[in-house]
Amino acid sequence: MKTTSTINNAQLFFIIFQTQVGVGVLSLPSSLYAEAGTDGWITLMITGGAIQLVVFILYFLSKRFPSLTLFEYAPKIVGKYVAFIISFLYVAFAIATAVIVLELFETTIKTWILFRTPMLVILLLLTVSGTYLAVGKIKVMGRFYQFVSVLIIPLVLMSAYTLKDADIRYILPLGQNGMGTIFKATQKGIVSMLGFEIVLFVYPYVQNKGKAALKSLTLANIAVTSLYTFLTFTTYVFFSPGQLEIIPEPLVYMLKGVSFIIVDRVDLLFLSIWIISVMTSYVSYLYIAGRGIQHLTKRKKTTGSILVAAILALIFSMFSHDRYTVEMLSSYHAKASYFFALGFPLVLLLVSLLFKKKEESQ
Amino acid sequence: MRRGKRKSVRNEPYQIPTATESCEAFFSLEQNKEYIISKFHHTEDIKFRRMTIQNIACILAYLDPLVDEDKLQKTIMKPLMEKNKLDIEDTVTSKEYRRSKNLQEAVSGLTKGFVVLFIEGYQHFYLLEAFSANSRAVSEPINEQVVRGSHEGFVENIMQNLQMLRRRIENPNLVIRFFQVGKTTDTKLAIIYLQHLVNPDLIQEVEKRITSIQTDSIQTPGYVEEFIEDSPFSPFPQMLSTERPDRLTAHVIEGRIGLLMEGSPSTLVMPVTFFAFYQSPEDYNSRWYIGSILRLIRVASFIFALGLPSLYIATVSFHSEVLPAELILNIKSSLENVPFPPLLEALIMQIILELLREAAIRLPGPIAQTIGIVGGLVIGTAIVEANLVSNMMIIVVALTAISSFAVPSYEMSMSIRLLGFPLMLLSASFGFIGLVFGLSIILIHLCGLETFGTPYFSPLAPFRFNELKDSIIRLPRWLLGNRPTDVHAQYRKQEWRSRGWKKNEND
Repeated sequence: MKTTSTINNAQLFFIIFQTQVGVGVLSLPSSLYAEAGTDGWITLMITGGAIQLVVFILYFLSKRFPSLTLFEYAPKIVGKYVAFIISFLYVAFAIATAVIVLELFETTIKTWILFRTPMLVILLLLTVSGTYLAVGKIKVMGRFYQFVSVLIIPLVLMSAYTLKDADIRYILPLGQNGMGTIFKATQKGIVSMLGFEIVLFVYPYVQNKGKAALKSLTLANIAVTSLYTFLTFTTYVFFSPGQLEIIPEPLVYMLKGVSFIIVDRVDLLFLSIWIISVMTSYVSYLYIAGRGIQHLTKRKKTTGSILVAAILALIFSMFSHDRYTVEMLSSYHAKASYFFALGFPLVLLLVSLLFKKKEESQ
Repeated sequence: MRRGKRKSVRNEPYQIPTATESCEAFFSLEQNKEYIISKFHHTEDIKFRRMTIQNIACILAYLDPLVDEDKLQKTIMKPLMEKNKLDIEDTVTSKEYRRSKNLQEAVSGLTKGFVVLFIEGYQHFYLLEAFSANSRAVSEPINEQVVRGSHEGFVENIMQNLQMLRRRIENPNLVIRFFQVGKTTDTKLAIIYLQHLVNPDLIQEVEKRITSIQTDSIQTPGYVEEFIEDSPFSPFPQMLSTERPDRLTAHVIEGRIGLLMEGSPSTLVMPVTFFAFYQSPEDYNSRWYIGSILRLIRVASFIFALGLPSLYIATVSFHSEVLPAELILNIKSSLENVPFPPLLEALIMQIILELLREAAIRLPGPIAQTIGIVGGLVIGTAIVEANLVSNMMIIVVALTAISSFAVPSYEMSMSIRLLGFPLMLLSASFGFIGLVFGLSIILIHLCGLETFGTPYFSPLAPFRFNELKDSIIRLPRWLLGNRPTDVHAQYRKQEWRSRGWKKNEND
């Protein structure tokens, strides 16, 4: 029986949202603190504004080719050979992101929950379930992302509960490190909010394109920015500046101290929910990589390509594994991500505007 | 090939069969009789009744078990004898009759309960309906009992079942299509739907799938289900099986298709969503908030039945620090003397439980109770005293079993308990992490599952807020203005302004 493979605007919202919210959320407060001190949460709001500009660029680019993904319209803009290189780089970037998600996931799980479980087993858990979701195509991903987004509510509630022990004086005075530092720290923020570039690959599947899609994108950006700002803010008013300097994952530490009536260790529940967010980010990048491989090898089905992408990511993530290597890799990856989230789309948009390249409407 | 030509037949019930191979009838009575006897391989339940009408010898042939004694006497033999005329058409008062000279038709007619009248010297013979419609009395299905509501249940006779449905939906748009399936058994299947409501693509798809069944026999609706369902390897049932006419009617009115089978009181509904398995017709018979609470309890029962043992295993074997000190002391003290890991405990108890359930089904009522007492009380107490299984585990497994039986559908409750086992394994190996991944995989499967183009986990995935009011809970009927979208019915409105009147005319 024929069924549609489109996603509605709510699903687009949740795909963007869940792709953005991911592995970075745990370490974000401390990495921002390192740059901007207790004004880190202001930085995040500015970052949200900056990302909105990028979202506009991505949207205008996608709108010029409403029924094609980036892999499909790149050749029309810059020609076959350059497009091949760009597509290849995007696949490499997506796999690299998946690898980093896997590695951060593995180190976090190892630090907090399963101390002695072999690395490969933990990686396999995420790989197997993630691959199963990714091969289900964008429609299933949309439904799943939307469903699991309900879990964000307990996440927020748990953090909000800690506000009873908050001390607002920790973050006062506002802007104590100067606007320059706050702006400079935005680059740290952008890295953890990456994920909106998936719109380049899912836009053709959206039912209502145009303004409605832009609305979903904007709302997703607002939602992610507010969530991150809120979570960062709660940790900044919970821990004193001195504590923040030495705590690598303040959110989890914060919740470790909280206990409800029958739950003594809230951090374990928090991490269990966090796993789902990690999985969704991982799946999104797996999907991008799979679609790219499918396009480059001119296959008809996506399943095989996604499997290849998953296996590649698994193999790469099995190499170096101490915290420092992961951090080094992440910083390289962060620099590269500017090109993929902003650079390439901007160039493609400018070239297509300059040469009036556009998808012919039937 | 054989079935291809039968398509033209299937629209009318009890239509006299047309055979594909033909064999000219003989003029002589004896030759015809010989042919019939040889075709039936000298079976002993075939009866021949000789009679003379206007001094011409005739033979009535019929298969004794299939023919209604009363009908045979009243509508065929009595008129023939009394009027003594060879003008069969005006003499016999049988409901249906037909003239033919193809002996092959006589043979297939006999297998369907027709009486064949041969007349000496004529090549034509007559097929006269005298089908015995005996079936057991209508009773309440024991596996789908309700407190308030209809106590009618389907029986094994398809015509009687269709009659119950026709009585419930008195509408010319109610269409029934017949299919003959099974090379040997030639079983009669019927699909029933509302023509003006149901999605035409859906009808076409169901018909296509049923007509493509190539099998020797269809013995239960389960066969049909396995032949036509979308994902045969999914653990979830994708068609709702029910023995209640009110349940089937409710689904037909929502724009779904019902499938009935001769010889089986279970009927199938397609396409259904996951939540159809958690609804019971009696929800609409009680106050709406009671109905809503009942539905919420059933949804909670799904979560308990699926995850409770695994959650317990994960907690006691990995994350006992999650629980506050007082609680963990209780649990750990009950675990102290048990030599097995929690997973093994859970498996032992689950297997004992499944054994008890299976044994109790097969036994007659009074003995089944004994089994319940021996199994539940004696084994339960003894196994704790023998320190094989902890108290806590007994509580957890009992809760799981009770939750799974709260599901109004038997297949679904089995599927859920079965899914509990891999989850237990995962949580015994990885704790909460394993449980989360296991549940995610089940959720991904539910999100991706589609039956006849309908998303299975609707209205949760894809999320449709407006439809939660008749799936997770049940709002008053007059607030349910639209049908669920998942079936893509031709029109969605199902309730207009029923409460358009003023409560107090004086205001």
